[in-house]
Amino acid sequence: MSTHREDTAAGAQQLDERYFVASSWTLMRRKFLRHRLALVGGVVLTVIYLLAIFADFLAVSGRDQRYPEHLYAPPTRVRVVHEDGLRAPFVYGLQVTRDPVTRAKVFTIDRGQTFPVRLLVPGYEYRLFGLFPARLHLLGVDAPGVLFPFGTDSLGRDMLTRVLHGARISLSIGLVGVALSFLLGCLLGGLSGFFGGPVDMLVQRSIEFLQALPTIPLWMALAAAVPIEWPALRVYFMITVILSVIGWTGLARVVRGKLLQLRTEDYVTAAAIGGSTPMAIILRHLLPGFLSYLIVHLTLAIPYMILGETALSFIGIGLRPPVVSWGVMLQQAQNVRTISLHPWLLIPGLFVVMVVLCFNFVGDGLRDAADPYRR
Amino acid sequence: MARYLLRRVAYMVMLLILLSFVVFVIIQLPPGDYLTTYIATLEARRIPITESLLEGLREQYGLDQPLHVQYLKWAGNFLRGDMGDSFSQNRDVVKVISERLALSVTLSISTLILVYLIAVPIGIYSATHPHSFGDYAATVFGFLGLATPNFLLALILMYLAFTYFGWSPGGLFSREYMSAAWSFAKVIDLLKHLPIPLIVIGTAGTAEIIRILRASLLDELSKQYVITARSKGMQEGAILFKYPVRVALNPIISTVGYLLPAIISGETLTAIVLSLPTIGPLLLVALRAQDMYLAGAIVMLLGALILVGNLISDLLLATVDPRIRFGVRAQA
Amino acid sequence: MYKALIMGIALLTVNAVLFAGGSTDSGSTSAPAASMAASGEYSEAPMLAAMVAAGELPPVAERLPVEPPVMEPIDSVGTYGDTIYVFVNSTEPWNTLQEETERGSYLAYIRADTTVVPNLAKGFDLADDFLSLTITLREGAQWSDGQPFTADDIVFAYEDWHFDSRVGSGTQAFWMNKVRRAIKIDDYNVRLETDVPYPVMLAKMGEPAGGDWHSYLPKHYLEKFHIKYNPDADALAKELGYDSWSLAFNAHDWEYQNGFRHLIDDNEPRPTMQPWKLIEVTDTTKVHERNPYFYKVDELGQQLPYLDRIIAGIADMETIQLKIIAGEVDYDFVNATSDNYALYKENEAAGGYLLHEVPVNQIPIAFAFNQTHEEKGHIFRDLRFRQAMSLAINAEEVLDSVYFGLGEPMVFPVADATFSPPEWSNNPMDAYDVDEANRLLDAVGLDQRDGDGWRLGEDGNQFTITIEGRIQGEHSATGKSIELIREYWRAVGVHTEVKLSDNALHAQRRDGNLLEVNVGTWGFPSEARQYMIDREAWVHGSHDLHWATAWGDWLMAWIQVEEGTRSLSDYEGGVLPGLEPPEEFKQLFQWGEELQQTVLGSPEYIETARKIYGFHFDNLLMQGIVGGQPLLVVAKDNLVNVPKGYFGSAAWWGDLNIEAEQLYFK
Repeated sequence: MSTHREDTAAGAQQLDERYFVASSWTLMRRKFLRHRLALVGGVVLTVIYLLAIFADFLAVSGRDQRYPEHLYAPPTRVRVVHEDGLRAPFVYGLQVTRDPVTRAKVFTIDRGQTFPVRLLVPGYEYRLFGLFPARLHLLGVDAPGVLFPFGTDSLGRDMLTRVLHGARISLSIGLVGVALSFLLGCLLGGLSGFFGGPVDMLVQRSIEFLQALPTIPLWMALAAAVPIEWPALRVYFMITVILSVIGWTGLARVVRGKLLQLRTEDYVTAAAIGGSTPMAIILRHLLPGFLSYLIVHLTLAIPYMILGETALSFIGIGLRPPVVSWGVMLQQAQNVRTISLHPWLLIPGLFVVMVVLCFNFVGDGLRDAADPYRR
Repeated sequence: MARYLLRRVAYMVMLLILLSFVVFVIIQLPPGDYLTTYIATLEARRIPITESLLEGLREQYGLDQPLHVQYLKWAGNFLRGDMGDSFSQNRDVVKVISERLALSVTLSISTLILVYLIAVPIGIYSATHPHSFGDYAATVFGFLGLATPNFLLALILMYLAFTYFGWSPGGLFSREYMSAAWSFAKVIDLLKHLPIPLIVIGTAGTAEIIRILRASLLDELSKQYVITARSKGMQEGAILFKYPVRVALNPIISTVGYLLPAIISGETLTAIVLSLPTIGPLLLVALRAQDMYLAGAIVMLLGALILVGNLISDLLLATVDPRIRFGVRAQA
Repeated sequence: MYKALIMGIALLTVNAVLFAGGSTDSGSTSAPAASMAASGEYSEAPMLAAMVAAGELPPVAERLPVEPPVMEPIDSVGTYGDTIYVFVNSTEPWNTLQEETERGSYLAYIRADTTVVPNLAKGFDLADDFLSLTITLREGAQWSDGQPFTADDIVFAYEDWHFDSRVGSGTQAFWMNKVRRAIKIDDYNVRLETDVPYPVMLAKMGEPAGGDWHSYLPKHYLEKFHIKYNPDADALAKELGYDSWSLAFNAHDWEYQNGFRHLIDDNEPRPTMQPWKLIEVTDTTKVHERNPYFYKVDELGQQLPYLDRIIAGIADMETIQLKIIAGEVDYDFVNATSDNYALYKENEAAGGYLLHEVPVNQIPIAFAFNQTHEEKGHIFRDLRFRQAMSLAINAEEVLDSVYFGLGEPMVFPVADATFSPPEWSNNPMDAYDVDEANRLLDAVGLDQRDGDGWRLGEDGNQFTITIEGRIQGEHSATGKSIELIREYWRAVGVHTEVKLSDNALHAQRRDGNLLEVNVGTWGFPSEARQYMIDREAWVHGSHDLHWATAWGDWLMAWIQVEEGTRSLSDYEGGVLPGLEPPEEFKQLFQWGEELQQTVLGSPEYIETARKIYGFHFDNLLMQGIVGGQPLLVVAKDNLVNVPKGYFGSAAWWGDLNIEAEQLYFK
């Protein structure tokens, strides 16, 4: 962002001894930790990624398991206060009736029935990390009690479970997409910035060209090119490719700009005189110089991918059920009756907002930290 | 400078030619053409369409010819200023687009003003009070707009505005004014419908500007001349607005170029949800129906604006910051 | 005898109409109306009266036919004035209340009990040999520009549009495909002639085939674009920006994808026979205003319609839902969906509207296995497989989760089989029986399973089927039902995928015989509709629900060769396209042809219809899930004469809005 270079002497603050001897990574870490929003963001992100990894363990029911009696059940309240005083966490039983006028299901609490919330209950079988068969789940209640921490959707599926499984897709799309952008961006941006001249011209103009294509037609054309017979997984991969086709250009610009700036530095000239090959110069001397910038940029690119996934779903060219992603869930919640009658279906939206915010804060924190001239 | 400009313009023309070709291919990429889409729509409604008629239409639209001939015909007409007729509306593309242009531009420019009104104060505050609670609160607020999917925010705001304030949902007018002649009351009605689109589209743009402004202003504030001014006992406010803010606004000026196409297309998804008759939804509909000339003209228009925007922002950057040579783009 | 019956009813109704218009009837409750109409004392809307006074319009009596049809009110006779606001998704005409304003005004109505009632036409005479139908028009009926509506307009539609392959279709697709000639007898009598018995043409007067842009066209307006009447038509077309006269002709005739916007723009609107005429189209609105020459009156002799104006706003689907609960939508039955039932009910009082449940027995969704699928056809052709797939579906849950518990399980997709034997209403396939489904699937040869429990095909690979359909709106009930079907089939070990594609892609895959399981909306399968419109669905599949694509191709080509409209050499390589179906399916197709040569409700009809429906009942070629859903109509609580059931034309889904001319606000 900032193109302003500063005098190293800038800042009249007192500089203590440790500051001068600390390694650049230590400095970065220290500065990052001072950025409180970034810190909070980082913690929240870590938690959400852990949730996604342990989705099966944390889920209350199977991903596609339906509770036909409990359509659009509101979030279950876990209570500790009963008529007879305090108790270990429990839920009340639910009685389901149909409203004679609106024909919607009505859920009334049956105070006569209580079901304690149990820890580490056996449930459906899954594979932890895709490897180890397991059937333990963090929370559960005994049948016929039900526990829907985030309520259920139109087909009576537990929303918490689906948010967790959706996180796997939505969060990994960001990562995979950024990884692809990273490869393309570094390669092309690196070549462009290092060699300059005709190569630079070519790459720059193709970037300009890609950026000149409005996003929506590009998305639609690429999505239309996905054959209908493709399985969900391959479609998922295509979507990330679609997102990163646009994503890499920005990154390439950052890489190139930084290289242009660094290649005039004396130490690069020295390395060149010393007989280093261009590749060695890029890898050994230049890359470390702007790695921090890359990381910042990548961090800031991920949320755009996550938002992009929801936008694709909205136009109807993204992932489709049975794939569960936040975008897919939001698409199904994008209507008036949800907002009016079943607002808990918008919970995936909260997660999107939270994750995007956190990534931005972490990115900002990293940027501040990576700037060697600022303390 | 003149040589540089000439070279850039030459490149732009080349890119536009390439763009026209790619646009054409992109529009053709989904299976079928406008007519197959059209027939399928008619068929779904059980409306008979005959082969001879189809052939006629195919001929009129030039869809019976090989792709490269179609392209050359389109591009040739384009150069002569004839963008063709919209298949689905049976009217001149220019007419179709221009009907929506005024509203798109009005909406976008008002949004832009709003964005700056929100973002600049927040950015200045954040930079002058770094790492304070206010900084964090302002930043979170500013970034919320970026983090919320616009289409969702639009629907929720529309719903809340209706439920709590009784505002007529969607569109630009209440139903009584939809087809009424312009009057004072109609203008008032329009003004009542503007806040939601402005907020939804506006909030999305603020975060980036806050971020840029905060970063560059922080840079400026730690510079020698600021310290000197301070040591001379100048008032904090006077210091701030005399130089640093003005310098810090420079990078933002460079983003103005980028905003050109956005002004025209507007936020497509928001406009769809809010039923705003801007260019964005028109493009989406045209693409879906494979209404080739209409979609092509819009995409070309947007593409050209992006290129012009890039050029402008390069020129601005080079003018403002002499350290940047012409011909080398600074990172944005 | 049966023929006499049908004609009797038709004539009776004609008489009734004539009676009301032409003589006194002291015993009837509508006596004053009758006498008023008899004395030619018609009244008109104030806005028109003002125009008459200003000399811009002839008096109302001169604008109405000599014997205008008198409309029986649904609730009560109304008063003039007001604008009705509706909201639609696009400028396309067929989404709206204006369906009628752009396509309706059928020559007749066909009632739910299958009787034919004259409307724009004064009467019909179907020849005893079913080879011709004589249509009698109303003297003095006029187009919206004041030009007379005569037999020429009908002859022009057939001879110069349908039969002229330069602009129309020789075969007219499935509309009136056996009519060969249209002969003008005099200004108000015209005869349609066929070469084979074709009694269905009488009933078809009450569906779009009997309406504007099919049965009649404004000749005085269109002839200048037709080369037969105007040798300079090509030059005129060029002048207007069309490549040829035929394109100009069609653009001024029926090509109204954009709601005739180009015609409004060019200030040459096409005249209409509808209650309202289109006067303005923009990107956000569409405005219709009353047609001063509309031909109907009410019982008090007031010229219809009551409402001055229809203003349709164009908005996104969800904005429309919000507008419905805000009470901004005066009338809606197109955008009101069953998903939002609770939402509408919740806001009924606050929004000042009523949610009417019109009992039309919708069958919202049906699926079909493509019998001619290259790779999996042999399994799909096994009846046990199809039975298993129906038994695996928990229709009760579908009703409960998708349709708010409204309706009943219904695998056999005819809700109103008036003439069907009672045992059909008790279909064993309506049951939910996973064990039996599994047993049948095992018996079909899909008994091997892999480690995850998926059934394996004979080749040892996972047996996967793909449900394909058109995208039906993003949050539709259809979408939810499909999601459930997939889950049910997966539960019996059949690995199922779902692919929804847009119209064009779906049509492409369908025509390429690539569909495996086709899912589609089925609509309002009334007996009359099956007879007139959905006939092809029962013999090889409809556009929306193909169950034997390749057989259908073969049969459609074969019948044309049989009838002599085409010869074998017209087809590539001199062979019929597609695949030749087994004998029993050829037989089924024949029955379909025979059915068209019977009169709806006659013993021959019942006999043939039972053969066709019985074949389907036994063979599960089209498989429904649930049925009996009402159609939801949202109407402001002060809007009067909202339809309470099927009326107008029972055959056509849009026809609930027919007779919108009698809507008015209290």
